[in-house]
Amino acid sequence: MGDAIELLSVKSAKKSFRLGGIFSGKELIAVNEVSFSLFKDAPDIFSIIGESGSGKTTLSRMILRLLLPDSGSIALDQVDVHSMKGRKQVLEYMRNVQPIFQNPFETFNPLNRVDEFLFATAKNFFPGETVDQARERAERALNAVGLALSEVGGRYPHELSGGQLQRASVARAIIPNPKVLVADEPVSMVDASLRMSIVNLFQDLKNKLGTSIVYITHDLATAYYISDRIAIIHRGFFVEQGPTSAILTEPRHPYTQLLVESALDPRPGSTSLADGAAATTGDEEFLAIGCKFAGRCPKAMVKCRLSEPPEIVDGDRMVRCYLYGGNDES
Amino acid sequence: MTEEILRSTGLRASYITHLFGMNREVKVVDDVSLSIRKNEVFGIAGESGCGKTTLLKLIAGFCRPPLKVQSGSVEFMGDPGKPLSLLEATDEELYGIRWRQISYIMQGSMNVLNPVRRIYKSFIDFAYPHMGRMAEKDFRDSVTAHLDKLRLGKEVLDSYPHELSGGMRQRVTIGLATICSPSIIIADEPTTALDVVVQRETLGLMKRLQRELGHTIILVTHDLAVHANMADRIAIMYAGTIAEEGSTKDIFEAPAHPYTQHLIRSLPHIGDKERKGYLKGAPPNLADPPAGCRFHPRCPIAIARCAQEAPSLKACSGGTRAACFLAD
Repeated sequence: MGDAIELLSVKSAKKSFRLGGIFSGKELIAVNEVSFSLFKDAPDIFSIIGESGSGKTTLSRMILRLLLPDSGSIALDQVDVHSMKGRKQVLEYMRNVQPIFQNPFETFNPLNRVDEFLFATAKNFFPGETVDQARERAERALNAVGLALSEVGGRYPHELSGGQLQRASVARAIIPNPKVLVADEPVSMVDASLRMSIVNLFQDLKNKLGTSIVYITHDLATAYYISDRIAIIHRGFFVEQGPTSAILTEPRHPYTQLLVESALDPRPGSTSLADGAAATTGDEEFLAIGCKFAGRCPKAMVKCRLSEPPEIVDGDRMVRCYLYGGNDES
Repeated sequence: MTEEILRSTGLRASYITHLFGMNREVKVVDDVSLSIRKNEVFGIAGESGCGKTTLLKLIAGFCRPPLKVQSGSVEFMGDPGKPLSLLEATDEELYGIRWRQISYIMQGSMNVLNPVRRIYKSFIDFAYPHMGRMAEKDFRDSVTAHLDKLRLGKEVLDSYPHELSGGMRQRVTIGLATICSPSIIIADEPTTALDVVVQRETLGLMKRLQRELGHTIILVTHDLAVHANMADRIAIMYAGTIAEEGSTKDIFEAPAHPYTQHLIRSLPHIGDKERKGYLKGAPPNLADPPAGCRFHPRCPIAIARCAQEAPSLKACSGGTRAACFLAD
């Protein structure tokens, strides 16, 4: 994919926060040297898998330009987020990169009707259009997600089911015809019988509208089901990245191996429920020097605790571990 | 092994509210009969708002207005030969069995543990009054020994909840629930807030403790993957009724109810990219449930009879018991 034109490119993005007081505080790097790209003309569902406190939400906020990276760059169509000036450019970025949030009941204002929210989005992104045109845009977006204006029109968020609301929030996101959707845990609050409808919807958006989707989740099974490429994020680092099926069926990084092993398989008795030791707290791992996973890694070597392993690229896969690329000591 | 420990028969309960002269009745639990055996993990699965938590409240004998029981009973067979009806028991009787016989593991460990008290103080608050006339020094020793079984060190006792990780806090709440060695532990979404790695460890811990101490676990979660790996038997709830029950193996391999069939079929797992279907519509509003079978508006194989009468559970050839006219 080297010669394909990049749509969204994230290069060595880094974001850190301070822990503790002004003088005694420590620096916690929430997202560290993360790079990935989405390509034009090749719409893609890119999954980012991580546990709570892995930095995945910070990363999604940076992609949405709600946070600016401390170093590195995030660029849409070769325009860096740092260089954007004025409302016009920022609005253009927001038009092309739209969010879908975790809890549809919090996405919508409970005191406003759902369709008002859709009209407001249409008016904000297409100022100067008539009410009828805004209505038409909302109608078209709702149809694309399998809803009709007659179904949600005039109704308040509590009158709709979680699945319908999440569809409505996807409809809102596609009103400005974005090129990229950033979905942060979009199905974790949706009922089990409706969950697959949302997941299938993402696949349809990719195939029919050509929208690229950044799908952020902790659920390996749905990521395997819909995504083409995947990245595993652990304590701010992408530890492994590549085609989904290859990574999840033959994980290389010990952390990915642990995740795949821990994902409960919905077939009776197929996962062994090992009773391991309680994990350390998140901050300790974040502040560790060297590979952040070394403290829990069964294959940790001395050098893992001293310096961060480099990215080792093998074809279309990347792994950040000393065990690969001829760096193995033993 | 097959001795019953808890039985509910024909349980019906509603939330009844009077607001501005309007009476509103939400039928949350409708004709639920369950028989839970000693030393098993009994799973209850269902979507949000299907009455799982209300059923648990009734099983725990905790029924306060606006929740009202219309008919049915819940019996606890803690004392051999002397079943105790939990819905008619006095407060003293309930106090006697709470925590000593029936205890809980709740979802948000941060909400269970008092944030301004050290972990040991939480043990004093929760469990000490139920330990009989035990000296406090002995209690501390037994708590320390118990935490050791949960692979938690002594230092945890003097920590505050925020100093522990989510997995450790959930271990502490499991410790709180098991310290009095009760005969039933009710676990309401015990691992929903946890990460996959910690989830597997926590479930492993619950399973190991259950084998060592020999209690019954009533495990409620919407996550069928958890049930597949934990439960011995499962009941699938839909809109306040039991749609199907049976052994875990039968439920997963030969589901008879169309709702269960759909749930099992739509579960994604690693190594499977086949497109999954989904059910049209949404779970019904329990204030105004559909007549007849509550699933019929969404059911792909519904017949005219389904809209008129509600089916009751019957044995099916696959080994499960399903509430469906068309199941065989």
